[in-house]
Amino acid sequence: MIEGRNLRVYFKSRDVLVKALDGVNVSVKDKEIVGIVGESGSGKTTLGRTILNLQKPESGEVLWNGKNVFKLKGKEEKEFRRQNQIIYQNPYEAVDIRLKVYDIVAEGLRVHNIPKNREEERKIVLDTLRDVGLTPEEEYAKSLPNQLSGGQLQRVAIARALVLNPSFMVADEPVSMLDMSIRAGVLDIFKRLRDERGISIMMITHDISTLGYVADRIYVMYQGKVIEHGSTDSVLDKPLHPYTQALISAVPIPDPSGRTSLFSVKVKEETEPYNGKGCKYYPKCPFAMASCREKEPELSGVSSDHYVACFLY
Amino acid sequence: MIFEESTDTLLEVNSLKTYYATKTGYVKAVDDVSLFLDRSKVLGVAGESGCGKSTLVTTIFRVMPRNARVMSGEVKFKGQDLLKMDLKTFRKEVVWKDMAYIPQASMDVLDPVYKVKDQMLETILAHEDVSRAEAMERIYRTLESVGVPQEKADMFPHELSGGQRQRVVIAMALLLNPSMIVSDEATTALDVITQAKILELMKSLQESRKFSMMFVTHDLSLLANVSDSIAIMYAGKLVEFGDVEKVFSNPLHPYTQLLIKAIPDLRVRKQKKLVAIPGFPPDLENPPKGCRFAPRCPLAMPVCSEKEPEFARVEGFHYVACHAVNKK
Repeated sequence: MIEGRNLRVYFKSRDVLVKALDGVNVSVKDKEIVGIVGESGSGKTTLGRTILNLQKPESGEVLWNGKNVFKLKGKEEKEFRRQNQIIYQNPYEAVDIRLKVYDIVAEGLRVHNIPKNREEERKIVLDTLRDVGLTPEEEYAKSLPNQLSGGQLQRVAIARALVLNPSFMVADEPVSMLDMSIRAGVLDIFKRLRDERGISIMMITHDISTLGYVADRIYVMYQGKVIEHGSTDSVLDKPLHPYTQALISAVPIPDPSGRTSLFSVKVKEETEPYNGKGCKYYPKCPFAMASCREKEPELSGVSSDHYVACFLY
Repeated sequence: MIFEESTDTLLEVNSLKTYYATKTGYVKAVDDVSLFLDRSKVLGVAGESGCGKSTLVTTIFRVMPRNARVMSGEVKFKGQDLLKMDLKTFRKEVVWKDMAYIPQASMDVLDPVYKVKDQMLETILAHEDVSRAEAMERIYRTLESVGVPQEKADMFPHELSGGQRQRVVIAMALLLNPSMIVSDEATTALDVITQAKILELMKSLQESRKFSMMFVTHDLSLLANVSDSIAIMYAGKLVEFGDVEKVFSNPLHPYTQLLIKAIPDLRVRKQKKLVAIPGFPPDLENPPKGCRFAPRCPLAMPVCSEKEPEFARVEGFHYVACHAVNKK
């Protein structure tokens, strides 16, 4: 449905060239939630922005139903913008705090001239608010962002994206700011959107455990590269890359009886700087071999739905 | 409130009430909270944003915002009520020296224009009468104990990675060898792997140096791994308090039960569905009558919206404030 091919995005900071995306291939199919996981600085947010044509890459292309999105013009570009939406981590910064919830949600509709008249606009907005669990919707429509809690406001942000009836959404850390007790509720909205409306979602997060509950497939990123990807079950049950293994074992287990086996993270302290040509993970990798210093491993398939970039396999 | 389970009390919070004054009344951020922390033990305090856990910490350290007022209660540390102490003596003799604080977003607490060693030196010299050379010696030793190479002491905070900065802040808390360290969401901003490593470090330091630790976080699963006892707060109230094993294996308060079900657990992700607690926390200026959790509680009975449940012992070291439990 939407696909990124060999994307490279470089940022220049004084004399240092930061490779935020270093040849990333990613695809999101119809009716699928794809999880992108990685630590800060791994390039996951840049990937989301590039896919939506909010960031121009150095090279590579993004194909949307077969068309290169960087070449879209005029009406086609506007249609692309309508069908592909983004939800940010911090809803307080993402919405205009001076607008009422109704206007926040209706703004996109007005830009795209979707409703024929006021009544239709009102109906669409209220239906959408109800859809994301903000009931009574009439009450919420009248409120201002500062009267809402983080969870409620994140639902407003989702409604704003949803009101345009998109086919694809990028959700960048959509629940990281929210309290545990309401995360599940917001995650359920995404699952429902996939199951009932057939919307595809790219969910970007640093928390691999959340993905275990919502994602169909997972991409693991490390320093601008995809180092492992596959179905959620294969990545979580049989993580192959040492980084993915560390990532999973670092998730705290909510059970005091398992304390002795706590944090079996196998990560070396970085003793030597990265030499610029080997695998990006070798300075921290407990299994690093001589070949890891010399050449970067390519992604290769260990099964039809599981790929890893590591010389161990 | 007297806790029989406390055998070697270091910190004792007694019916503490801290309110914030607003134009229209008081926000009851910490409302009648009692708990204790024994020597060389770890107490975990968990709750959602706005439950009062940070207000509890700022009250203990007496660094509350200006509109905050301690309405009643006491904070006893080594038998002395901190809230009644002269503020100057408290800052000179107790803070840092005997109880240290690792704050939220501790990556940003280091002063960007001072070298690491100069900030650490200041901490020592402000509280103790030692020579510079002696202090430097201690700085290097402490940095080493948290896994930061000595040469980093000459660097500025921006030259360090997030994890290293966090380690420096921990080292600063350790400098004067306090008997209690309070960590307020100290690992929240870190990457998962760094977080795991820092937690491991804090736990091993706690075990070897035998200080007490109060670990405040919204992430209950962290507490399962580091603490001996757990206090769960909701909307300014302490709703459950007890031994960590007891709270996790047999959570009594409906809020705790739901909170545990809301934590993702990769081991059982296929069997266990994540639970969301319906509704939102109450407005603390006009909290609901009776139990503050009643409007969201699946077990709520008529009495819950009438009378506030008493915070009482169930069995052993396990306390809960809930009508449904206390009735039995």
